[in-house]
Amino acid sequence: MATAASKNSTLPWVEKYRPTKIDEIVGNADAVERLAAMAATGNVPNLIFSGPPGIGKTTSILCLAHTLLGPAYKDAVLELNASDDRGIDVVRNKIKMFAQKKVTLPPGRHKIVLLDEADSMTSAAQQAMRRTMEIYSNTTRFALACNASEKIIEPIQSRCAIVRFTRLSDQEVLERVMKVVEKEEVPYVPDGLEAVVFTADGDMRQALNNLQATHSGFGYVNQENVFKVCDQPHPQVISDMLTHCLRGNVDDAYDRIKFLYAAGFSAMDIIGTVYRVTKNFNSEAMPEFVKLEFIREIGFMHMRVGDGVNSLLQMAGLCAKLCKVVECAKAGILR
Amino acid sequence: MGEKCYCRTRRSDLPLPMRCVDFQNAIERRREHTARAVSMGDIRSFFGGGGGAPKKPSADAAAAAKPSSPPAAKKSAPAKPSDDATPMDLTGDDDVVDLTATATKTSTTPKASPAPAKRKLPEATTDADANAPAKTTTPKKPKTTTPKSTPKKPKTTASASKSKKAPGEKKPIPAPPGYPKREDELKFSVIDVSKPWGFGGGTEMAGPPNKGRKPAPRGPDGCLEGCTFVVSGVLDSLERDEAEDFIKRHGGKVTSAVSGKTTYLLVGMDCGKSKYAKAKSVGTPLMDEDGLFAMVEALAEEAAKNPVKTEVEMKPADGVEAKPEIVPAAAAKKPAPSAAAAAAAAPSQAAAAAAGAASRPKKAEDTPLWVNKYKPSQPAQLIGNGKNIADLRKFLQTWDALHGKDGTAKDMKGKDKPMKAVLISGPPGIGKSSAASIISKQLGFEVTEVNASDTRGKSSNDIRDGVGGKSSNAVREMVTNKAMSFFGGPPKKTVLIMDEVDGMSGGDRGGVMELINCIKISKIPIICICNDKYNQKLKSLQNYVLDMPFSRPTKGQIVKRMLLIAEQEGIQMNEAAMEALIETTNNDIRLIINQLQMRRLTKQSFAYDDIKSLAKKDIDMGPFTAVDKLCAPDANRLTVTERLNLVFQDSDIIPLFIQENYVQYRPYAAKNDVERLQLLSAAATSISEGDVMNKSIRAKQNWGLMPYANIVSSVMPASTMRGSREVFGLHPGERNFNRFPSWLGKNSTHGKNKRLLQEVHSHAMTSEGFKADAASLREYYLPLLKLLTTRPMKSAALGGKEKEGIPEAMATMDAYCLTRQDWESIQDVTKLKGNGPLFADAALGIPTAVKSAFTRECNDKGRVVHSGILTQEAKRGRKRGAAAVADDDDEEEGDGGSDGEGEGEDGLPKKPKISAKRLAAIGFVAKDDGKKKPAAKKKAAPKKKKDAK
Repeated sequence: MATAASKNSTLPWVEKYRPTKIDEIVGNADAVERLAAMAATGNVPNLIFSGPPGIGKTTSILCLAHTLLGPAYKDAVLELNASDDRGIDVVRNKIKMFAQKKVTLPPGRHKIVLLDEADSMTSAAQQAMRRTMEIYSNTTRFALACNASEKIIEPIQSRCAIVRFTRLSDQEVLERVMKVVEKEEVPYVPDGLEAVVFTADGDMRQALNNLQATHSGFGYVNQENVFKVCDQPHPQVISDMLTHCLRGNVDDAYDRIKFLYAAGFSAMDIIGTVYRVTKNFNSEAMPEFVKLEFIREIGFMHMRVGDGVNSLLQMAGLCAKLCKVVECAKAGILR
Repeated sequence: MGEKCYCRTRRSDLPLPMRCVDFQNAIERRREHTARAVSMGDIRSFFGGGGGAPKKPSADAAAAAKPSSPPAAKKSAPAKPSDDATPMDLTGDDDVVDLTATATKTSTTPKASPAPAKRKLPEATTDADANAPAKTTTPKKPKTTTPKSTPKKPKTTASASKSKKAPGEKKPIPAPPGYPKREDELKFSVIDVSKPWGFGGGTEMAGPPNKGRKPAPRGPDGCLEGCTFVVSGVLDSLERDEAEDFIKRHGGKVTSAVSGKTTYLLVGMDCGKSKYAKAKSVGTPLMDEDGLFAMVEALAEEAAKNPVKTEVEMKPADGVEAKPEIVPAAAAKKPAPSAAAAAAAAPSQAAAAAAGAASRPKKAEDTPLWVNKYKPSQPAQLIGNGKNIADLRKFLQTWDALHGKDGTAKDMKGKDKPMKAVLISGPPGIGKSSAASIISKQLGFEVTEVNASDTRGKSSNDIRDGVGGKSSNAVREMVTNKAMSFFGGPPKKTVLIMDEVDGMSGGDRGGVMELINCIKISKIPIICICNDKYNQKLKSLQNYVLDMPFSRPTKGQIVKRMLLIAEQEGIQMNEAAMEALIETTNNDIRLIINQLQMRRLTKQSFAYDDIKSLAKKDIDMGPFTAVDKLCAPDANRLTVTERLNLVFQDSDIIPLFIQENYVQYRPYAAKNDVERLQLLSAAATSISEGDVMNKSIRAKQNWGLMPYANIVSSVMPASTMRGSREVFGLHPGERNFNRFPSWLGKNSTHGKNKRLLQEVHSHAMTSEGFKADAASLREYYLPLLKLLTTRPMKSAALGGKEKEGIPEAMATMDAYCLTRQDWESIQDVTKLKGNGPLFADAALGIPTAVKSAFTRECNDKGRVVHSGILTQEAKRGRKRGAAAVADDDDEEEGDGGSDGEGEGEDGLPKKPKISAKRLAAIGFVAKDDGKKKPAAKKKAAPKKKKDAK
């Protein structure tokens, strides 16, 4: 796939640099190790891959299937995703037919049914699948990928080994981004890549997309350009603001907000970022109850902005209120 | 730094509101436990002083310690650069201890736990002295074993379990010298239940005082095997689940109640009185955390000293020794599983080694899923549900005799009549399908299975469907058994297994009905299988099947067989690990096997810690569980994001749950009743603010507010109130569980009353005299109307001539155009909950005979009450009698707004006075039957009103 893709420069980088071998997969070392073992022995149980988007679930399944089946991939894999019709009839006809189909494969290999985004299948369709999974397990194995594994009905979960994928660490994302940057010869400064990694929040797909967008938009990857592309108030500024609020420096906090507001961010964007940064704020610096009070104030602010009152004055009010929360907490006064 | 100094001064000079304590704790993280210890000391002294003679000396010690400790903390802190690392803090704590409890404290090891020393008796020794041989002469500890014996082996396990029969001798593994200690040397206290209710009395309220300070030793795997622990109270450094993990990691068992089989009772502060008493009565030795650590350390040292020896001993000794010992051990109740586990563990090493070489190539050729490989093939291999399986067998065996050609079932009637089919129900992965097919095969039946992957709609009479293979037709044909005896000879016995009947949906129109028909005409037994027998779809099926609910097999039932599989596949695993695995999979055997297979791909052992990190089966937890977690005393261990996700489980109902139950929590943060009230008020504020946000979400479709609303309406109050739940004893027999939000029921009653009121109001509006809105009707008119329409019929007023009161009541009703139904509505709408004459049911005193006479009178043909609701009937009626009334444009008087609406639509001109007959002719008047919605119309209303006046 990659070799064919590299000739084609218009391809999104996400596709162009999608791993094709299991050992190219970034992150989730434990799960990938197991996949490699499966690929080696050929004995694949029915699998459920679950985890947030952009961390390599689909890629892993495809790699596994390619490694296992090689040239027979075309015949021996039935791939269905949410764009395909996967109603109960398809499960009963198409999938069952495929399971019954005879394909010549090397010993120890099985046909594979790949169901991407399986959590969007109706529970009736999932019901219809359960016995098929068992009866034809001699010839066919299922691999399901989903974001929320609780949407998979319990009987299916019971029939599968569940592999949980977690978000990639920033380090892992950065490594891959560096590789792409080198191959594509993108001009960059380190803090630009850092910003790419930060905005991606462990989502490789988003990291590559942001990188490509910044590259094609500005030609140069630095922090400023990345945040322009991603159009997000810089979380570091917000974080500074909150730190000042925690120290009771209302003026300094206000300066940060004013800076963002002057930069043209809408009040809603700023508020949204303030919320996210607050929620993930280091709990050592911001104790839980202060955090909750902050979120409460931010919530009311959000409500007012939603009502159309999105002036800078409101922002200033928020800063003041956050400071007040901290001061009250220190003085031991209950709200 | 600035804040720190600030906080410190504050802490010393006023009893801080708890939130503030929280705040400071976080700001100076490393001081946290000191602060907590101080505040706990406060709590204790608060009630120790007030609540009669304090029973425990430790409380005294704490109380005594209290005045001196805060200044100590204060004094010591500024003296040191507070940015230092943990050791500095430890010394800081030591200061506290030195000032308070023992000057003789010698220990400087990090393992020593200074802070709780405050609670010790002054003469209590620290664990530095614990190994002194002098202490070994305690009455509790029969010093039989020496630390020399090798750590945990089946041998010791077995011998220990034998010796267990002698009471008081419960030492399956060697405790280090000095353990278990005498009771008064242990750091523990028992909850004093005689103390009046108070704060700080809850068992799980306080965290471990030395959390994270003591490095937990790591012993050899399985070194505690054969030991059963019960944990009670707050341990010194481990949280409860950490302690359980610790024990299980080393192969020990943790149970919840003390029994004769318990090896040790692990005690901490505030341990349960009943557990303590039970332990005393059965002679279970007590042990504290230090003891446990020391024991594991000793075992680890032992293992380190002679690793070769243990290894060597392990293999041959187990192979040989385990065998003969299992036999007697198996006779004893308890050790059987552990012995089996030991037996399993022994060959597994060899097997693992062999497996690497032998099983790999073998697998490449033949790679069935383990689930299939180890699928039970004999009835004896089925796990659990013994009675159900026996029933199923009996059902199949007797089927022919009962339902066959000359079956006896035809003659039976009613309840005794045996069913022709069974419905097996139960969660997935417990062997329902396996049981059905194995038993059938064993009894010589030929099994035909139809499952959710087959279309199972209604069969049709269309011949093409039958030929084309519509499976329902095939099924129908099969159960009627026409073709079976075609070839002559005895007909084969067949059974139909209908799997996943609750999966009939979508395309399977009429599937359940078809199944029922099949059962009715069937000449063969039918076994239906489903997960959820309460499924709405299966309701009609219930009447035709014998119910056979399978339950999840217990841990004990699964564990043996799974260990066997693990052993055969070369996975090293001990019993504790397997039990943990069973727990994470929720007793789903199939999933366990799947997980084992996954594991075997890369590793050859499965330790307890691996399982902890394993993916759990994701099942949506109900709101009850989510709220329990949110309000638990240790909820602060979850991050805000995690708690927010809990609320997002069902963000409609969880805020209601919180609102229903928050008052019942005794906040962990409160030190006294005043503070509790303050917290309650804060929580109530949050809830009401959350309501404001929720309103904005619904009214303005402002869904972006959702996370804030959830935090403010659920996470904040729960975090304020988190603590242990209690009941106030207002309702006898009230259980201490979170209640389902009563708002839902109340809201629905409210809606119903509102609807009834609207109806009464619309009727009343048709009378000319009444012009007010529904609210005033309820507020000012109905209380009086209720009296006026009931009192005349009560015996108290008329002394046996109640029936004479009927016309009077009816006159009042007619004046307001009220129907018999409205009369009921009035009673409902005005009903208030409470005691006293004001709240009594006004209709209560009316004798039944009078009431029915009243109903009859109301339903009398002549009485017609005007109503504007029945537009539908009117239209229908008009169609019917269109010809008859075509020229009737003199109908309808323009009285009453609601009436006018219905009429206006039809464009009928309005004119006063119309005969009831005429109205009836156009279908506009229905009889007031007193049951259905008022179908009636006025005729006499204005007239009668005049009469009444």
